[in-house]
Amino acid sequence: MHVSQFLSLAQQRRMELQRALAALPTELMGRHREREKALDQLREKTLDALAEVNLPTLDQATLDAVERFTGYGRFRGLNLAAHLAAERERLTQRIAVIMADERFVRREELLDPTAGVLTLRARQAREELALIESGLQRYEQEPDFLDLYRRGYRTPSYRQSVLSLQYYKDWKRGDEITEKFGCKTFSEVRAAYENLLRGKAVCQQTLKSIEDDIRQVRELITELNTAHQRLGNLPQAVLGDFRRMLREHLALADRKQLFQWAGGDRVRESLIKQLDGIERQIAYTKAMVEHRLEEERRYLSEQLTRLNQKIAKYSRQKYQNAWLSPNKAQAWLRDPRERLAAQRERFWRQYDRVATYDRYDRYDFAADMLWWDVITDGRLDGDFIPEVYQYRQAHPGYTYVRPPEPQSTYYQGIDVS
Amino acid sequence: MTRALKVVAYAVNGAGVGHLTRVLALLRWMRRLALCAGRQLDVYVLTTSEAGSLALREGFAVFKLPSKTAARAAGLPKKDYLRVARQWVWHSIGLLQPDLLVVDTFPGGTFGELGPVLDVPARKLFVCREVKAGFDAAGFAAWLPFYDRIVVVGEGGVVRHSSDNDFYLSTPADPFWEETVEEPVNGIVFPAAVRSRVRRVPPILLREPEELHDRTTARRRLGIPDGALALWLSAGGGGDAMAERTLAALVAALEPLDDIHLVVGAGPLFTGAPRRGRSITWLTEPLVVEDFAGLDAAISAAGFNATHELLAAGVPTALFAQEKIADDQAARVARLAAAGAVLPLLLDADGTPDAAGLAAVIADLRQPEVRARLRAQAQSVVVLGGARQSAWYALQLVLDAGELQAATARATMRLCRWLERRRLDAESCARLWALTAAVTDGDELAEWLEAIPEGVTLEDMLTFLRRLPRLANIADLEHAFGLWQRLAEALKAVGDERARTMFLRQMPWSRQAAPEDQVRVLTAFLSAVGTAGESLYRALGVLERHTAGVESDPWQWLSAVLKAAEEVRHGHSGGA
Repeated sequence: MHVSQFLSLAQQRRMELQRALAALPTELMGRHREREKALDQLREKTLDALAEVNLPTLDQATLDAVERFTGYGRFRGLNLAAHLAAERERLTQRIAVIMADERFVRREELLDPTAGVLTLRARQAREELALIESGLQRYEQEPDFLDLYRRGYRTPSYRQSVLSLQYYKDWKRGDEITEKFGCKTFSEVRAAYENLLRGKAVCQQTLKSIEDDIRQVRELITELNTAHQRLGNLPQAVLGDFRRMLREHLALADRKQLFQWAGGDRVRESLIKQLDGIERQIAYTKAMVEHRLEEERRYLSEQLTRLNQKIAKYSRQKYQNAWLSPNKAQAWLRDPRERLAAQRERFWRQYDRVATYDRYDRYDFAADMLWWDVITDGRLDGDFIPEVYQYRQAHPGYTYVRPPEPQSTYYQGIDVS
Repeated sequence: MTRALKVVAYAVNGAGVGHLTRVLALLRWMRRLALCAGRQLDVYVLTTSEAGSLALREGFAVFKLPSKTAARAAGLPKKDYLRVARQWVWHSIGLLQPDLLVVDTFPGGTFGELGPVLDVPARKLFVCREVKAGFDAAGFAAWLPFYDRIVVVGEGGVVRHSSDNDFYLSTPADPFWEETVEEPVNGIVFPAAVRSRVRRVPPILLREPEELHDRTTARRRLGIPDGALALWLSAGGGGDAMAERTLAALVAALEPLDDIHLVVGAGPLFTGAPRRGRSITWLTEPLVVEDFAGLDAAISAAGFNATHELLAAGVPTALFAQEKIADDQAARVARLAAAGAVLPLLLDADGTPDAAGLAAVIADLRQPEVRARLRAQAQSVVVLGGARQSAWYALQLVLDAGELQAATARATMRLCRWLERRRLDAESCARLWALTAAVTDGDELAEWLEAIPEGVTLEDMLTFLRRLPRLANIADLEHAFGLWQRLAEALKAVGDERARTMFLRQMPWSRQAAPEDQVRVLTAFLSAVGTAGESLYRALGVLERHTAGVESDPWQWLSAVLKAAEEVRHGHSGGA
């Protein structure tokens, strides 16, 4: 192969590799993000289910049991009847306050889309603002005006030397602008412009104040509606509040501790295992894809460097009429992405295996186990994940043995999806 | 993390306690210095001592071979025992491949088995204690060239010490190898080739006087009645053939004396019949030395450790000599008695004390002025710091000079005690030293570290300190500790240890806001959490929700934390 032909093909390959290198994050992370989103949603659902299992109804006995099963002590000593009464009282008082609020009483008068006082004032302020802005534009669109204005032309802060050409250019443009705006001096033009600027600031302030008033009235209306709804279905609303609070606790509580608190309750234990497993899946898949991305990036960069070296070498004068061995040239021009494609296919198979794992019941909090081994059945090397690496360091000579299947319908009997 | 240093300590020398005590004292200080350097020390002690409980108390794992005495008592053929013992030592050292081998008393091994394995460890230290004159001195000398460092343990009253480091020694630098090596030292003449590797150290003691319990505590622990003269009786570790007879005779002679309370240190190896009574405290556990401040006087066998522990603690002592294979106790008694540091007591051939001599000794020990004189003289003949200095020489072989120098400055007794109380591992220590590099003095560090509330771990503190800007000087460090104390005080009132650790790890933090402002609002937040009885996990969730996305704006960030506190206080975010 003639060197010129080789160089042409090599440059083409180089461009392809550069494009492939740039597209790597999108290709790998795109698919990962979809899967991550699905796992996140599953985690949210599991958390909801766990909160619901621990707080199925709103009654005193259920509230009293929450701490025992979840370690969440906020409901300890809470008198439900008193709490509901206090909340009812709070809402009633709030409704009364809103309904007595003059802004709420005059809400239609204030907010009517065509004749509302605030609506009209806001419209007027916007029109005034538009008028001022169009006046300002006249000045600002005039070539060199803003430049002269900012440099303080005809003010003590103007620093242009009389010995510079710019000084005379400024003088000429200043006179032209003054004449165009029908003024006697540039200072008059400046004063007119600054008047408009001040007017704009005042107008903006007025508009903001009116819009705030409108927002406040709307908030009062929304709050009143919410308060009515809440009051109409108070036990359900309070149950929702309590579940949200409990859920926030469950979202961050130590999983092992949570499992101990579950005290052997199968449903709770199953959900906690599922929650922990999903969180590990999220972490593992992220680590896997980042590791893969790094490997591919490194491989492509190495190939690109080699190709660049060949291009640099054979671009030299002494090789301009050289002939290259076709075998060698073909080897240098081989597309490295073919090899990557096969590796990537295998990677996605492993990735999917981790991401779609659902036998959470196989994990045992009591045993010193690693989720990675449970999920991969001990068949994948996960030393690139810090947690896995540290575990292996702490357990030299360790080999994973899959524990026997649970005897009961521990997994099959519970629908936690 | 830096690789752990593997140390094998060879303390194979009969059934007794002495050699194990010396090796453990050295290892204890090696571990302290290593911790102060942020290095993990994996220590394997090979021993034949039957007093394994001592190592357990000191937190060292002992790999044990039966002593010759135990093997003989069990009727094992001597040849079998020796074959197994040699192979066991060879294989242990070969398998462990230590970075440092520490050998006590016998440089070639008790069974002559160390020769073939002395090329395995990277560095080797020999602890040379005094042996009786003529005790195979030539054989000793032949092994010495294999060692990188030879530490010669001095005797009370006669010691001079090397000081090529900054230890608290009372004696000046000692060009030992130039002046004295022609003379036998501890019974050995050092060959010219090894003289530059030899260092003298004071007696190696398991506990220095400043580590002992105070007198009131010690007397309470020993069960000594108020006003009684507490008299320590000991015949060494208890393994001596005459120990039971000697102790029985001493107790029989002294028990009738009403004003004396006997504290009998029978020793961990004592297997005879105990003698208990109203005026007797009978002890067989190790580490009784910690209570020596409670004693008024002592009558003890003149073993190396017992003698120096009593003298260092300032206990007026009468010593009697036991017959030992390698230890010349009679010479020790004579030397110390000549120095006026002890009273000599003679034993008959059957191991019982001479009655007249005992009466004279008791009469002397009853006199306060005699006790005061003995105490003053005793403390003057014992130089302290031998264990620490030996450990320094040992670590000098495996650590680089800068690392060891920094560790030495840190390793004050106060800081070491704090590290041991908190049971810190080397990794945590390394992180702590990295963060507090601006402070080199251990006492200064200890003062700050002691202020950490008990319910909060050091890991938690390190997690917090890492969030702060780099601590460039002592003022920064002082400020950082102050902030940590405030936060830790607020934190310890809420949640359990696991929750607190999680909170500190995930606690939102703004690089833009001033740390003191952040600590102020976070303290207020934690106070709200405590008042509301809220879970720390949920509190963290609320805090994360409020502060998400505002880290770059200090004002918004601080307001967000206060809003989070408000939500925690009311249980919900307000409104309808």
